[in-house]
Amino acid sequence: MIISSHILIGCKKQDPKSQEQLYKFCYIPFMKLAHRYTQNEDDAKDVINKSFFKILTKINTFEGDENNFYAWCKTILIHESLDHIKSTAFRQSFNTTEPKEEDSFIFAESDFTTESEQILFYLRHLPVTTATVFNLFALEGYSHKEIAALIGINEGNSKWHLHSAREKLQNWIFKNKVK
Amino acid sequence: MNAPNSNRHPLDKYIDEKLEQLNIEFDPSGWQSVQNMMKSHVEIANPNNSSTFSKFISLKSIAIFTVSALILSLLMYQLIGEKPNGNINTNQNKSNPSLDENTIDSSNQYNKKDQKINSVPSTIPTLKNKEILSKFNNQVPLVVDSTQIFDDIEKYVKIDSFQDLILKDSTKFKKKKHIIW
Repeated sequence: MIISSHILIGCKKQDPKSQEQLYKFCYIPFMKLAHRYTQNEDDAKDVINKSFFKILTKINTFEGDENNFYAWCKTILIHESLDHIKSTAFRQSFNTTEPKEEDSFIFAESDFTTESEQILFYLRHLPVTTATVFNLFALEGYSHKEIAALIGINEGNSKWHLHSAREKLQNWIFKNKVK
Repeated sequence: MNAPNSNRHPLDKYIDEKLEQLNIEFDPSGWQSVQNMMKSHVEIANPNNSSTFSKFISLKSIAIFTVSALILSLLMYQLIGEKPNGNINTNQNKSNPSLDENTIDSSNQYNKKDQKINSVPSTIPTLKNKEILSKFNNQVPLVVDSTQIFDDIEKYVKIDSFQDLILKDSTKFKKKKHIIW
């Protein structure tokens, strides 16, 4: 995704119209991303608003062009999402390596209107660290080294969490499809 | 951060695709909250710029208020000074022609007070006062001749020294008449 240069220039000049255009342009992809890191829609909106606040207030520190402006905004959103995870009660389970015993639950297909919602539900039911590592590695393309530095775990632990996430998600999706 | 490549795990790819299909609608209320956050940030970051006008007004109003208060206090002072009660003049020089009728001479007041205070101890009746009082009370004063008293004393008490003393001073007492109440 590339944000047009006039929006970038306008935002750097603190033009309200350009700022609103940027918000409208980024809202839906950012909401999709924020949903992966948060437990509900309200938290996702909160993360997005805080991220936009940071983007618009720190836009003058951005030295790139329109080609990498979206990636810069996305990085801010991911960092804000991680801050949100740390600030919520879920941080308590951040350091625990013991996953929740939820392997046995099977969801009725009628509970979800779309398959996307079902996948999101599975992702939200993963342990917080496991889900975060999966999101960062599998969906955002971060390396284990980067993940270890970001969330304060070692690389081996990050690999274990990724393996655990894949195993659980595959199991839940397969069980639900068989049913 | 690297972009997810084509050698991704099939499960990762599947989940990513499904999550991209999430149905999300634009919520304009979110932009309002961002705008509010921006406004508050601007006010906190630049308090001088945000309230320059109001600050100017407040400073101006404070200045006007202080000046007007000073003028009012001066005017009030002047008005009180021109009241018929007059100024309080501490000047003790009574012969000062500049003092008009309305001015209160504090020195004069003090003198009058002194006179009153001096008149208070005169509870011991003086002859003059007794005469005045007798006029008011319509009483006839008792006239006693002191020589007669001394003659009577001489009859009963015959002491040489006392007699000599009386003889010496008898001339003084003879002509004097003491009024005793």
